[in-house]
Amino acid sequence: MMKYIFLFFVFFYCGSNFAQNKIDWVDFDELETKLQQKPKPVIIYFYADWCAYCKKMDRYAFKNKKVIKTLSEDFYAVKMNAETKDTIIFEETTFINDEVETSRNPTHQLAKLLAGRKDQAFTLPAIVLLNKDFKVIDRKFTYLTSEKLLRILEKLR
Amino acid sequence: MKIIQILLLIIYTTGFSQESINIKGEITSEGKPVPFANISIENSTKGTSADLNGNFSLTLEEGVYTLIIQAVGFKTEKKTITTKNFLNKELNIQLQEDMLGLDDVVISATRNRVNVKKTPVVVNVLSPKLFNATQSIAVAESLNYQPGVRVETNCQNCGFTQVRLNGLDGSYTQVLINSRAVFSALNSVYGLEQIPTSILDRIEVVRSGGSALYGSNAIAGTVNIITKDPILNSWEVSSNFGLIDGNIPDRVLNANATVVSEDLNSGITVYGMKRDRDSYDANHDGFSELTELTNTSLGAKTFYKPTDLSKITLDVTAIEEYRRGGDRLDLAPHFTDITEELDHQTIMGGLTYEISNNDQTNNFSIYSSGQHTDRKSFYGGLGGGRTAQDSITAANAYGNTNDLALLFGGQFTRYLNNNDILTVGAEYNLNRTEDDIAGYNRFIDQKVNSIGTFAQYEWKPSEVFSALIGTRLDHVNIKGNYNIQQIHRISNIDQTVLSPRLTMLYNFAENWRLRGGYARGFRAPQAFNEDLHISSVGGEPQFVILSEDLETEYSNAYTASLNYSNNFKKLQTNFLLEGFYTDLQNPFTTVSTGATLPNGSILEEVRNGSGAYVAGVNFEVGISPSSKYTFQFGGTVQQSKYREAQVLFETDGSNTTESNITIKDFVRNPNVYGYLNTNIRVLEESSIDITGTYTGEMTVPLVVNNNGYLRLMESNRFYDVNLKLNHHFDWNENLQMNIFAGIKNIFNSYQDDFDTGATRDSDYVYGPAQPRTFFIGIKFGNLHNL
Repeated sequence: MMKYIFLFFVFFYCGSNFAQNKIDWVDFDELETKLQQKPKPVIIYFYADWCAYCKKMDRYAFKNKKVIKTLSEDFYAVKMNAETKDTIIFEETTFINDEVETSRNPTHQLAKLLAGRKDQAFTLPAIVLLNKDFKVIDRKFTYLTSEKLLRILEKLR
Repeated sequence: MKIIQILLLIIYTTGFSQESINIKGEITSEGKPVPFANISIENSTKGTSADLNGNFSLTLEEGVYTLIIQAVGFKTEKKTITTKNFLNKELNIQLQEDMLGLDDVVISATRNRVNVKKTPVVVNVLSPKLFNATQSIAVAESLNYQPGVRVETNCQNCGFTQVRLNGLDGSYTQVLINSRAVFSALNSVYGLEQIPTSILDRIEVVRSGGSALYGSNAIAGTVNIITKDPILNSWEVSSNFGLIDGNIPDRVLNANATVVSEDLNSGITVYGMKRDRDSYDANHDGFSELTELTNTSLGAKTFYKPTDLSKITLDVTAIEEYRRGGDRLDLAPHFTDITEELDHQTIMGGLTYEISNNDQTNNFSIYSSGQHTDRKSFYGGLGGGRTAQDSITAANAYGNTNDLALLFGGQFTRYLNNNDILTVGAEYNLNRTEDDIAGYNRFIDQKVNSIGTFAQYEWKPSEVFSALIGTRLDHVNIKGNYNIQQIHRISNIDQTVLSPRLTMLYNFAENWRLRGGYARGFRAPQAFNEDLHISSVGGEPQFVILSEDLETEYSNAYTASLNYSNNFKKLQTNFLLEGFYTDLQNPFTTVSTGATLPNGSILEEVRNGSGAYVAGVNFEVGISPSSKYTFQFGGTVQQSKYREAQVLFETDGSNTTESNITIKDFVRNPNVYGYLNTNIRVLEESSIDITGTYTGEMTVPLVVNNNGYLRLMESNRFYDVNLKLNHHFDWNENLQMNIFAGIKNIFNSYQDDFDTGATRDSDYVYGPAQPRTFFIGIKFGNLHNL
């Protein structure tokens, strides 16, 4: 009996040692440097504080071991609050939140650019997938389960 | 290394084509490049996107194509090209800026699911924010805070409340739970006090019967109580402790928890509430003004989605409620002078199945719900007397009530290509009420079967005009047996009524909405809430019975409203002015015939009045400069009159000092009333809520002797103002806490002329529900997930 318990702890210990247990989110600043060092596909995830479906994804899809493993090995993952008031400089272009003074749910320029759709409301969660040449391959404007997210990520790997 | 080449569309691998041509070009607007525009080919899935500098390239087979160029903030451009013209030439496209398009994105980006109210019917929504601000424990307390709605307490002994909409009493309002009519005749007596607000997502109030989907008895309007439909796993425990008039405790404990699966295909919410309130005696005469009350509710709501397009929802709630008012509450009821004691055991539930087709243009739902209440009552007492007969009467005042309501229905909604919506449906409703108090020889056995079918067409011929055209056909069958002592009444009604409804919405200018509507409704003669309540008057029980040959009551309701709502940057404004006129034909009116029963009890008869109308104006103003400040107030100015002077008390001529009492105005209904709702978030985590209601003067009848003789009294004005302070602690993602404290009815604006003693008129109660009450509470859980 003791042997099994011991083995269990050994495995548990090893497991926790080798597998990352959370996603290493990067911001756009870091992304630029990282892409220059080593190109990889990119996933950009837009959320907002009020978005319940985003929270659901934070707690499930982005906590899923397989998702964490895939993202940390083969992707750069960017998480951005679509309503942030910060100025973001990416590729020498300045993006600001130009709705801060006019809207209660101000959407950042960069979010509108990457996840905006013509004639459709800006909705969250929004997920943008780019290949290693930083070309947009796919965009998802809906809640995703771990399973669905993995299937999408598999296509890009 | 050039890393930015953001292409916003899926790169479409076209396979191996023989003659493919690569077209290059630039997209600009007023000389400046438009980044990231979408370029798609009409009638195909091909397309590409421009880069940051507006440049794009597109590989196409030889031929003629129509390109659609779209970009956020620009008008959509269509351009037909022949590929061979662009072999060596750039395809340059100019876009025009579209300011309104940008605005659209902004408005829709708010969290509101419904961006702007586009319905032809004015729907007032009460949110959990308001339940919190007013520290409402039960539904009844929160309803006051909108125009045209007033909740009044009707009985000192049992705390029976009812909702008045546009001045019409509770029996003219249809109460729905999750859009289903599960409230039976009996539930409407105490039901609104039994549902805890912690399980609610919102309450939608529609004044006047605008839609054919609502029942025919929705003459004054509809109160739709909608329970939460959660996404996240969450839990919450809250407790509230109040001291009524500074010393009578009112304790409430609430708990609820939700689990929803990752795929959102199944979930369950369980909730419970326990309330324990001591009785309150305002004038120290030994008789309660507020009842002793204990309430335990337990319920669950669960859903399962067999496929993406279908859903099964099941909910069950059990309510156990005990209330007692009168004097000497520690003795058995029949040893006291007055006791009204009610012990409710209610269980209700519903099952719904919804299914829709792939593009969700056809939606079908079937539903059934049921409710059963077992009520043990004691309405009576010695009434100040100590004779053997008094003791016998008191000992026989125990009663039993059995109430069953069943509902089955189906509804089909079709979204047509032109945006019009067609809804058709049918509903079967059964309500059986048996109320038996052997000692008084009072027996009610009422069975109401009704079948309703309805059809409604939402017609949207243009962007600025829409109309709801509908009608319902109801067949009602009532078999009622009403007995009190030597009086026997039978109701045997079989009737079919057609009720047309029409409402229109006209957006005559941006942000302005003009609405108008007409609705016809009816009420078949049957015992309804107040008729099942026995009050204690002049030391005698007072019974209500339907008169002989009582006829169906009809109503014609007209409304017109003007609504303006606009956002100036972060400032949100809303203004509503609504006129209403409801005409009642053969209105049911309660007439006291005095102490005409053999044992001296008082009898009231429900009779057809000569006709009546309510007419007036509701207004509402809402201003919110930023999400930190919300300010809202509204009110009603109205008339409610009988066409001919209405008899309230009818003498039999035996007492020469007493004559008939008549009145033109409705009693217990002020001509002016309103509310105020202010929320200020001082700091990020702290807020102040100031809410209040105003009740104008009204006429209230008071029974002055044991013959049931009345005197008409004029009430004071009341300013019932509440203050609440709330502080939020955000510890981590999974645990947050709110602490709050406040005062209800700060100015102690409360009735000061309650009738006293064993022979008091227990129905002589009006104005705010509670005197000044201090409260303090705590709430914790993962509150961000609720």
